[in-house]
Amino acid sequence: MPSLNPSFTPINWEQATPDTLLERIAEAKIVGMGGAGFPTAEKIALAQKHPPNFVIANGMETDPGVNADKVLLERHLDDVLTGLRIVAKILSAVQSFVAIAHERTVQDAQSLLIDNETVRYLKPTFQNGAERELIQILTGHVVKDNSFPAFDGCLVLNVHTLFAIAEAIAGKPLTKRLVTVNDETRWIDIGTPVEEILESRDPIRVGCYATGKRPRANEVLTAKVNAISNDKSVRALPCIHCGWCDEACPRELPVESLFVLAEQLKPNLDVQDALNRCNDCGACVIACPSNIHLLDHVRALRQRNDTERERISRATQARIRFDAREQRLRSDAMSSDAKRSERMQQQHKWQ
Amino acid sequence: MAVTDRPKFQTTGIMVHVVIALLPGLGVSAWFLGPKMLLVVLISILVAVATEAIGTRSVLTLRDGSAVVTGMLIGLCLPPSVAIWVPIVASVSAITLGKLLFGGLGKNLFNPAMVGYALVLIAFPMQLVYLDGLTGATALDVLKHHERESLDQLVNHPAFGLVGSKHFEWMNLAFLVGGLYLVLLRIVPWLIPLSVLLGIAVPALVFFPLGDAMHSFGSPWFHLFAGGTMLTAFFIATDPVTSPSTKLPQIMYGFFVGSVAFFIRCFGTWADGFAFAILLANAFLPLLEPKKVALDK
Ligand code: SF4
Ligand code: SF4
Repeated sequence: MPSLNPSFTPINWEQATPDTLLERIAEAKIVGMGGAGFPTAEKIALAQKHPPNFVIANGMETDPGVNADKVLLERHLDDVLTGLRIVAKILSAVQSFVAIAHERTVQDAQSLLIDNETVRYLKPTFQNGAERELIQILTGHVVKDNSFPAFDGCLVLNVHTLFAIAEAIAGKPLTKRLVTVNDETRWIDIGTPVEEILESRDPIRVGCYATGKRPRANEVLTAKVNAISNDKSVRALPCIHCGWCDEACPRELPVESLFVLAEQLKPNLDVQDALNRCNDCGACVIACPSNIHLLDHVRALRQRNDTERERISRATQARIRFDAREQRLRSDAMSSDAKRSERMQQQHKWQ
Repeated sequence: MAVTDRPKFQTTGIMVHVVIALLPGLGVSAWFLGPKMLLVVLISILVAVATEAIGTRSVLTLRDGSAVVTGMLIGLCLPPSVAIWVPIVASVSAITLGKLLFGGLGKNLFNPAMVGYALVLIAFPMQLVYLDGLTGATALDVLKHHERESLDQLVNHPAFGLVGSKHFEWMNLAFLVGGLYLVLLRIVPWLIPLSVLLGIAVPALVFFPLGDAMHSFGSPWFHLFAGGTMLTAFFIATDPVTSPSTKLPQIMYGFFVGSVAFFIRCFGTWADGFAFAILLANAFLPLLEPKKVALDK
């Protein structure tokens, strides 16, 4: 738990070696706070091995209705930039970028930049926040489907992660983070039970309404959660076939049809390709006028398909084992027949 | 940041906006056809809502507001001179036969309002004739039943107004205004009303010059502003449940509705053909827009 971190001595990052800095980030147990939850030190170490090394601060806030990035940038822009410079120093990065979806903050950032740093305003769309898309827009580099950004020397870190890095280097452990609770963004202690964050008894989602999931039993707030929201989908109305979900999907998937299939509560391997292409952005959920949580249905169908594929592969393996055993028994029987007749012949000889 | 370019609507909100958009048309209709129009609309709405509540044994299904819209559309299609039981029969059958029998909102194949309206149109045709104190008949009736009259006479007939049919042109204008409101809010996809209007105007453009002194088919302007053209184009053909949601099917669907209505107006037995055009188009919907269940990449 980050809250159990000891308090560190401050490090003067401008003089420290990259190894000291990286070690501190690992010690502070900082994870991707944009939702990935992947250990940040490992991510940086991976990118370190693969130049050319671009660092991108991701303040795109793709989750609809969430303001946590905006509020952080308004209040702690300098700390976020410090975090960015620390990472740039570890990587000896050639270029740093800040991608922001709020025009006002872009102007604030412009005056604070130094060489090799660029701030860009990008329109907040469901696409622009995704790692690969960001890298392509900012650096022009296309990360191939079978590769990973870190292998191409591109490192995208959420602004909250960068803030936490700056804090850790300054000797302050990560104990709280900015969370958008319905409409209001405030600091909440990491480790707070999620059910206690919202007063109301209504069902909630951990994350924003569109992409968040229902809480597990006794779930507590972790560093990667940027929002706690009321779950409107409990009052869903019938689907009126308006097609707005299909229209909203940035991957152009037939969302309504996937929903219809998911409602059959059966696996459907024909649509696996579409399920794989869905990037869980939640655009369809926001578009639906009937408050149907389409992403829940997509995820449920994905889950059923996974189980089904596992069952099929288990069945195939069992079949293979069974055939092999049959074969073995048959050949054993044959060889014991052969042995017996051999023995009989030998007995013959002795008589 | 919410990341959508459409203002966020809820299904209930959609229905509220549709009712608001229908109000100018309702007001103008009541102005020209008499206040009894309001009574007919009110009865249709109340009966539709009650039928849905009783049929589903729950008031929860009323939340979406679709029963109100169905009732309102039925009331607006009926002439104010009808006997009071006509809107009752129409609304009850619209909700039961048109909707509940299919499994409720979203599962129906046919537009419920048109199911109810077509039923009373077939069963009690005499009830549905517009008996306007002034003219005695609408221009669409004149167009159909006075084929031998010359064009000049036709246009001078008291049932004709400036471009369309007297009174009805103003009602159509009011529905057009309400319809544009829905299009601007992007609740209604603009392609459907546009193709319905083209579907009726293009055949009219072709046939109008073919009409001679003995037999007029009516000009495109006349058809656009007569009968229930605008009401159908913007409010009935755009029912999301029974209309396509992708572009090409929307164009085909709209054009089909418009042109079938034109041919029924000019060659069929009924004065206005939109109800049957809609039902026919609904029946073809699975062909026009096969649900993309077999998914392409
Ligand atoms: S189906 Fe997936 S990719 Fe498409 S809008 Fe919904 S969540 Fe986004
Ligand atoms: S947006 Fe909602 S109501 Fe509209 S088609 Fe999709 S699931 Fe149905």
